[in-house]
Amino acid sequence: MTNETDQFLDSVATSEAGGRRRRGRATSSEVVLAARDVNVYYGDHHALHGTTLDFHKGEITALIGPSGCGKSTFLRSLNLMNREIRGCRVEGEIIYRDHNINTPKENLYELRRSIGMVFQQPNPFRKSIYENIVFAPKRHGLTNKAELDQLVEESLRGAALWDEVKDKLDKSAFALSGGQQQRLCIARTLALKPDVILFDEPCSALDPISTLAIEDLMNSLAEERAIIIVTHNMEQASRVSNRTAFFYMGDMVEYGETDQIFQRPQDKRLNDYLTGMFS
Amino acid sequence: MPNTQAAPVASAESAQDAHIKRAGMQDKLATGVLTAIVALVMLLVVSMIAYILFQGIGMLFKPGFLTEAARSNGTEGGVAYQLFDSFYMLFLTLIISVPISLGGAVFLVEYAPDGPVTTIASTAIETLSSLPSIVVGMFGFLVFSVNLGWKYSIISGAVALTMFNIPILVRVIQQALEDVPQSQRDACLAMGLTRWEATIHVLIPAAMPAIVTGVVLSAGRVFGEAAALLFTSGMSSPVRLNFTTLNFSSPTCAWNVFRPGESLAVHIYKIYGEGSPQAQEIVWGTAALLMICVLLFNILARIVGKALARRMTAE
Amino acid sequence: MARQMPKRNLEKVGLGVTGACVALVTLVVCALIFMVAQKGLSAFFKDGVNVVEFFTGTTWDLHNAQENGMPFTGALPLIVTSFSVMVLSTAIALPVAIGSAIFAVEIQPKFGQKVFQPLIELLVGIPSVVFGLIGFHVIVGAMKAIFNVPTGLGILPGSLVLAIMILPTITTLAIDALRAVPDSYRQGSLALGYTRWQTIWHVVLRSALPSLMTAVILGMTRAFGETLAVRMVIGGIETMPNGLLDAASTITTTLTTSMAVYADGSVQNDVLWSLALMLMGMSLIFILIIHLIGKKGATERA
Repeated sequence: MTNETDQFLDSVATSEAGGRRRRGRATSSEVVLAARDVNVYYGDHHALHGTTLDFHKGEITALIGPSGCGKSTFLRSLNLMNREIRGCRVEGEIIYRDHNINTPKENLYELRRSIGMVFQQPNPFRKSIYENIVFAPKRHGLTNKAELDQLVEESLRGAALWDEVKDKLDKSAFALSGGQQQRLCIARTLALKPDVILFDEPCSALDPISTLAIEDLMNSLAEERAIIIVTHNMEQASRVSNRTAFFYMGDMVEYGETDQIFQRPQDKRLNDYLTGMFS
Repeated sequence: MPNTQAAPVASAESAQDAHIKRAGMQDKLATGVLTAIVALVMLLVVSMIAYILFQGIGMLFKPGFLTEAARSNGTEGGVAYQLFDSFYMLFLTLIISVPISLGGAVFLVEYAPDGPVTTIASTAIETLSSLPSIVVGMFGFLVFSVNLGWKYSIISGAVALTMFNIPILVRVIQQALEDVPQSQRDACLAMGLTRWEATIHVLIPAAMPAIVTGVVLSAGRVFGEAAALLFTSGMSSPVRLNFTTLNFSSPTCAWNVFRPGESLAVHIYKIYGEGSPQAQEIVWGTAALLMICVLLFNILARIVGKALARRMTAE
Repeated sequence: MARQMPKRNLEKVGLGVTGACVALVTLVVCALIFMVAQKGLSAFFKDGVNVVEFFTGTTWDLHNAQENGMPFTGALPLIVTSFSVMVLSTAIALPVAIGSAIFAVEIQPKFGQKVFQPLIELLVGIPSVVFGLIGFHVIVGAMKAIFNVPTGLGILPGSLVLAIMILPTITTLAIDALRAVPDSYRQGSLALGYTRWQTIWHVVLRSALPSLMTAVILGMTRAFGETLAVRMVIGGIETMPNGLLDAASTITTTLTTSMAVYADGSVQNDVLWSLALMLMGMSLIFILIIHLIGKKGATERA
């Protein structure tokens, strides 16, 4: 416990300097996912105005901005989850692996295996830890018991949860703590071997220690993937992300290297936001 | 001068005091009246149930009442066949109505697009739920008994009861599904699963305690329904039923769904006006039996629902 | 690797299967409405029953023929009786139901939820013939003794039985309506120095009014359509009632006694369907009223 607390205090202390963790990782220029002039409407309400952004492999991109600025709406467009909301319409191109996925013909089900998503509230199923992980792979056709077992171990290791739960895989996921549940949800996503993982305020329901564990995890996950995180927490954005995009009232106002965004904001609105003029 | 000025202030103050006092009195009075009303209602419910059980419980222990067939058009003998017919019709009703209601509720909660289709469907279900059961019974009579030629039969009765039961069940299941957190749905969809898989493997299991409770409670309602049965299953059971034969077309085969049948509730309606003391004993015995069954459904619904919920959270 | 159906098709199967269930129910309801309307209207258009006489005539006698060979089809006595029992039973049940709901939500919420509500829900489960049976023995007997009348059957005992039957419907819906009133309303009123009763009367009841009205309408719907319990205590004589303790017959009870008597397609049978059409029409009107209340509430909130 004290060890973890020390670690926490340590990382809080270094967060100001910015990006201690992310510097160890090699970034690449390979664009995995890109948005081209994406507009989102809820009925008549124009919630997101023409947004264009690239997401690179090996990088974490943070989407920040005040509540209702369109950052979550944008995130949910990237794996076409907005299609599940009645009355929601997404226009523009979303390019994944060089082809536009925002078409009626796109196979949503295959796509969402490649672009995983982790939600604000940990939302494991009322099943065992094991079942939580193999549920989706099984439904996607993987039935070999040995392969499934291996997948469970791999995914849990990937989510840094294996050591904590390896002896109780048949126990209910609801018996885990909030932070463990969230890591289980990440493991569940990893089991589908995604290229991109979208995090929608993944730590807002967690305590500081669990938050740091998730941040560490994101850092290691980003080695081979593109990670996109929506967060309300400025410290978190500056700690984990390579690039940051600032959204305000449905517009993507400023985008750049995280250090530049936080230390030399160009736009007045971003500056006001960072200095706490509004939230 | 100061005196004349003070006087109205004082009287205003005392008027205000009186007002506050009156308000306080009103409050006490209202509380008293409401308490009395509630006491009266509770007394009414308890005494009604006690009265029926008191009047009929003796009959239940009388040899033959639960095991013998009715004689002399129901005024003598027992109610064994009525008891069987009630459960048999209930069973058939649930077999038909649960899957349809489940499908309907899933459509309305998970799939239904906004628009005229959904509006028409939910209005139709609402209409069905508010129709008097006698109208449902008459429709059943016209379509199943007359037009389809099923005459007075168990199956006609069960289908009429199905129509009566579906709106109740759809509403219960709809509610149960809506109560499952949206995040469970999102989790499935975000992993590339279909709404269908989410429903079958996650949402319905999560809603199961509420669904089971609702189904059992609705079973209690179906069990006591009579008006929809008068013209569909008829007002008499065959004189002899054979439970061992598997010749389903035989009119005396108990399992033949095309034979007439009579539920306990219809039986009460049929003979309640008979003057003989024997018939009166049977009426009250039947009423007590019906009440006990309905109470059991009620208790069962709560116990099973709670047990399922506990098992789910304990895992 | 097991062969799995492509997800897109699986979703179509799901949509198809559940959509079929809804379509089936919708179709049956439409068929029901259509058939009842067709049957009910054929009395007027095919058999030549006079519409005006049907709604205003005071003689209902399907057995005997008038001079023109038609049965007596004046349904006014049945209509009057049906409306009388509906209004009277609602008038009896309403204060008790609302009072109990206030008690169960505002005064003793814990007791209300743990004891009173399960008990009142038990009433919903009691079959209507059992209500009728108790009414026939207890209430009718009481009427005879209290008012010194020969039979004790009639509109009053019918309304009393119905009042007990619709009591749980109105009460549970009223409890839900009162619970839905936000606590901040109550605290605001209490903070201004109002007593609990003043708060309930001026704030809680007023803001729950649309839902309470819906509760009452649903109770009336049940009262209007209830059949057997009323049949057992009302006497079943199809004449214009002379008083509350005069044997009478409602639309529903007339259907119970006469429906199986006349052959399908006869004038008598058709005119009974006209009664059923009237019942259905009333249900639809009640639904419409509930929707209008809901819509009005929604616009007021917006």
